[in-house]
Amino acid sequence: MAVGTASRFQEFRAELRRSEVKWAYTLILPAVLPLLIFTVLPVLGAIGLSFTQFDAFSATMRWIGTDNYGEAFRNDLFRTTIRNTLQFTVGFVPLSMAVGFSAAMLLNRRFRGISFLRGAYYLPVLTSTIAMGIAWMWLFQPQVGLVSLALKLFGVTPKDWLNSPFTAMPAVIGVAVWKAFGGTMLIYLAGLQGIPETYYDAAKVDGCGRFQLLRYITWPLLRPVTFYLFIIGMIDSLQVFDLVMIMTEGGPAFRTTTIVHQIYLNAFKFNQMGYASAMAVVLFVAIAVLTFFNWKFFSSSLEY
Amino acid sequence: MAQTRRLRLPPREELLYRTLLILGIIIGLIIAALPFLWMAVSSLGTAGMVIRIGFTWDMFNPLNWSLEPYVVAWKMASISKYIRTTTIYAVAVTVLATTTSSLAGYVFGRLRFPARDFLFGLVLATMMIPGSVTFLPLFILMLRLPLLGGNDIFGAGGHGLYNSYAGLILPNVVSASSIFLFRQFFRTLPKDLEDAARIDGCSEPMIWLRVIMPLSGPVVTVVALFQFQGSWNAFVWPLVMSSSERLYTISVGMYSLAYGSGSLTSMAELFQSVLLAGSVMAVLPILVLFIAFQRQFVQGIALTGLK
Repeated sequence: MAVGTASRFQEFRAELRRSEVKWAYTLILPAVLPLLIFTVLPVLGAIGLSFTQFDAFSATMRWIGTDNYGEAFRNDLFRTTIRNTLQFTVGFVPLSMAVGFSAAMLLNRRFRGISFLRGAYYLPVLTSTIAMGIAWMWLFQPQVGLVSLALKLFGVTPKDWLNSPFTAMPAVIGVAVWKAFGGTMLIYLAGLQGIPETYYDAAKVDGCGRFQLLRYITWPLLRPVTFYLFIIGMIDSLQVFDLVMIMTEGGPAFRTTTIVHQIYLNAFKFNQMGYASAMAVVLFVAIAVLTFFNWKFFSSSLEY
Repeated sequence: MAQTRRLRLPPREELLYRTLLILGIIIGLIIAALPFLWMAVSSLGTAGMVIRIGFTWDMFNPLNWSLEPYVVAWKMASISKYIRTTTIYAVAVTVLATTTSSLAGYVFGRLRFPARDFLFGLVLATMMIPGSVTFLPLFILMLRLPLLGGNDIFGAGGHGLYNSYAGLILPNVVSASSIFLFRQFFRTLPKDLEDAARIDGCSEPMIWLRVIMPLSGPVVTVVALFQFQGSWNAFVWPLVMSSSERLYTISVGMYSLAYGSGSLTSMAELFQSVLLAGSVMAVLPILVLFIAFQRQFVQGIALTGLK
């Protein structure tokens, strides 16, 4: 009798296990299948297409080996594109981190209205890049735009900021920083709130001033956050597109065209799908390397 | 908490420190908010005033405001159409992606099955593949899907899902980072709950629906909010996927208006105000959502580090 119960119990458990496994595969299908088809497959597709000359509308394809890559590295415009993208990165990453960090230091306290302030700082992140790009184009308007009016107070002659070769990229970087620093701030705030108050108390007992607290406690303890933001900032910078499209269309004279902008133009304006794919692969490799560093850093820092 | 760490300084230095602090906070607030205010006020300018004289204090006088740019934007510049398309797109993506991702998060977080870690690793790996790498091959894939949209079995002849809602929505029906977020959250729930349901003969989808989801309100809200916000603002994919104005989302529509391929080219007098009115309408739904759910947005960022 007891044996019978035990075996029936085991049968019941085995039945449960079978049903668990069956359901598991069924329920992840609507998630895993689209990921394979719409994310993994396109990467393989981009790699494949990068070795061809391809016209999407007539669907004619010709294998040309590594010619697209050779073309990219010989092409002056591609070199300009890379230089622009790096310029953007070099401007955007440190600035957005510095502004975000400063904002976090300012707002890392508790008083009435603090969440309103954090929200206001963060709002630009959530809004449409195209819509705010249009607003900023208006702010950069040469004669009556707010930027010109404000700089006039300091004696700077107004000019067509977005159409001058030396001011177009700084303007785009400025708007990008404005749009992103709220996110950096929130991540730094989360980091700041993870630092135990006792560290500060101990340092204060030892006679540390405000600056020393920042220098010897806050900054070193935020290093993982800083590293994370640095890598994420670079990954985002390599892909800047919306802002360039709306504010400058890559101009003047290609001074603000970026990798993704060139991918878009070559694929959809010049019908050079193969060449565009080669650029997408180059971008993918760069992002993969950065992601690898990020992952490496965080899996090794976990050992502490 | 590590919120208030006050040092005792001599009164004068303390006062200086306080003043600088408040000054910094106000400058930050002006930088963050001014473009919005400037945009809103300029969008209410009466015909031609804005473009001719730009900034005047009169702009802040409500008696000078006019809703004409909004009327023109809504009716003649097709903003109503763009908003409608964007709403359909964003709601569909939000509902589908939240459902599929929470199901997968449930399975990866709470069930045991062969190849689970491999499959989850695959999901994590797709998180690092950005849309800016895939949009071109994805476009070709949608254009050449066999047997759809007039295509034959080899994907030739028609347009596949190009320029259709299905084409817009389908690649976004799941989000790897949301799966990750759901899994992390579901792992913290006590196992007894679902075991009790299982003994009572509840199947796995019923456990997900009746036991897990009701306990997961906060994380569902966070994921849904970010899905909605992301698809409301989406630009690259709707841009390459739509060829007719019917399928323009608000960002694509505003872009086409700004560069004159929309239906607004002939009205230069109002042009700037209408563009800004359109931008206000593109931002407003997100602003309302943010005011209503600020806590969830902020928690979501802190939770994931995602943007």
